[in-house]
Amino acid sequence: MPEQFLTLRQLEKRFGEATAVDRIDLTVDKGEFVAIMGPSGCGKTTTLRMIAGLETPTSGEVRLRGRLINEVKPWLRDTPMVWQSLALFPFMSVLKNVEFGLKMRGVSAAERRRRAMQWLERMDIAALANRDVSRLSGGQRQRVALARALVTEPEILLLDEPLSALDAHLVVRMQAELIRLHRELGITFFYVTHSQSEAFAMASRVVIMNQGRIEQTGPARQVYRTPATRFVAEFVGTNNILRGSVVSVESGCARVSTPLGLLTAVALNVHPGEAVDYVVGADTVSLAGAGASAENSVRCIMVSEQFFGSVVTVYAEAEGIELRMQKRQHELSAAALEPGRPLELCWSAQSAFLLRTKS
Amino acid sequence: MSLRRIGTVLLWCYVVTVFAFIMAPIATSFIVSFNFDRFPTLPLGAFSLRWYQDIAQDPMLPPAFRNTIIVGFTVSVIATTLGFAAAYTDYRYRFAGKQVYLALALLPPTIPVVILGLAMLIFLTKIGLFGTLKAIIISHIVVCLPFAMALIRLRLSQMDQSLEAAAWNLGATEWRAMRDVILPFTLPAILAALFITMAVSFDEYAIAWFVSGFQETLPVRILAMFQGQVSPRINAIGSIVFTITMTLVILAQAILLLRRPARAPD
Repeated sequence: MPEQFLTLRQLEKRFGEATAVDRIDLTVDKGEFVAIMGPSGCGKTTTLRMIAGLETPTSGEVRLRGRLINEVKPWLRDTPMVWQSLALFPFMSVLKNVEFGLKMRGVSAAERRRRAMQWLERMDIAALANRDVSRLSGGQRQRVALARALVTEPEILLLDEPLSALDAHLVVRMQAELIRLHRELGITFFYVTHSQSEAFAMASRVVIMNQGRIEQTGPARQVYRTPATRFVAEFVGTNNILRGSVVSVESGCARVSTPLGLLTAVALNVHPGEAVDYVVGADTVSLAGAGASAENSVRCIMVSEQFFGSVVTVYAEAEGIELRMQKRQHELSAAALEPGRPLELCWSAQSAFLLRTKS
Repeated sequence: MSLRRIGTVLLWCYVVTVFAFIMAPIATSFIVSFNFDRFPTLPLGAFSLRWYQDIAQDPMLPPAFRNTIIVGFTVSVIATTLGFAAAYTDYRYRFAGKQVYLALALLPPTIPVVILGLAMLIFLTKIGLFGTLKAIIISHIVVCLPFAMALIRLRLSQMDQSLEAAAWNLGATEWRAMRDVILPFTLPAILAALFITMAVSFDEYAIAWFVSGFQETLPVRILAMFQGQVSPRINAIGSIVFTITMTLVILAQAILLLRRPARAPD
């Protein structure tokens, strides 16, 4: 059983009338890579700032290694952060930036220079030690920010959307770098982002927040495959969501009446007559034809298609409702897809599931 | 010649004319200050330093000059310190009535100096400071503080919002962050504020005239001299004062420009 390293209990932060974080509970183990994800204003950054001590909780608890730290000043915590803006000190050299944390802890000049240089070498930027930070590229600045935060050898690293300012190709490289660092250091990474791809690419556990509350926590795969709430289903991945009501439940399979007719899905704790959201992932939808499951099929009209890398999303419409199908391009190349043409989409009951509609 | 080129030439002529109008009287004063003749006429008389020697021997001028220096230094240090504090308060804190606070802090230069001077005179007499250097210093701080605050506030507004919190986050106490992050970042503006406030105090005549009594500052003395007689000594003093003031202002400008971070060449 890993040590309960960071615990948030009924943590709440209000700014005047507005509630930024609404009594959340979260436990993070030592060495975990947790990503908090959600739309802007969902409270994820406020949560991070409360862990760093930059905001004082309105109520609830922040515990680090069991110790209550609600009121502990930020400079007395060892919770370094990589900022969205990076917040490098512009009037200092790269080396001085990295030395800063050690200097504040009273480490001798020779020793802090040695340790800072070690980190610069580790981050592959030793050659830039005496460079002015304004004369660095985006990727280099990122490395300086990481070295500066990690030089004091903390047990947790807080990251506030650190990759949001980088070019797409650098983001992928820095992600690999972060994964490597996390593996090598074995410390806790607490990563705040609004980007699904970042969260899913790196984190061992994903926390989805919305309007100050935690909607779902779990491994990336679990959150992606079985969203717990309609919000998560809409926010994560590409899902088709239909309102409906359960007609019957037989041997783990539910028949649901939706605007697109009777559809089947895996039934978990639902009863006939219940109002539900019927969710089917766009990537589990196929074109009807040889080999495709016909448990659920819907005739619709193709509207458009959108390419993203090797993945294509096909938008279709039936009864005024949009349905989306996501496939790798080569899987669809044979099919004649043209806007305006009818097509039949189908999926298995196994790939669809139900969410109880909140009353 | 294209229309565009004509426009450029006209614009240059205009700029040169404007500067000529501004600089001509000062330049004349400079030139005439080295002229031997009592009354300047063209062609100029022989080159001479007699007016400078004259003022060096004037018994009233050294104390006035000394007063101006003392007042200038004290005012620049105190006004810049207070200006920094006011600017930092604005930067760091949110509080009710902040707009009023800002308006009040930046108000003094908009008040007519005669009114400000008269008010100062009445107030300082009431508290028994009339006619002392302290009176001039206090009045000048009031006038100079907004300049210092505006300069430092501008610099703080260019600072990354997270910079101070980043210092705390790395283990710096509030004082340490102030010393190691805020002050180094705002240093160019602080130096500029020191020079500008000194220049403003050095030049300020009207309020000093109201409150100084017998502790005349240089501008007050110059005007007193001027009232009795028109002497070419005025030109000599004017040249010195102008040079000192301009040096201060140019230094302030240079610091602000030079300390701007260099852009990466790549």
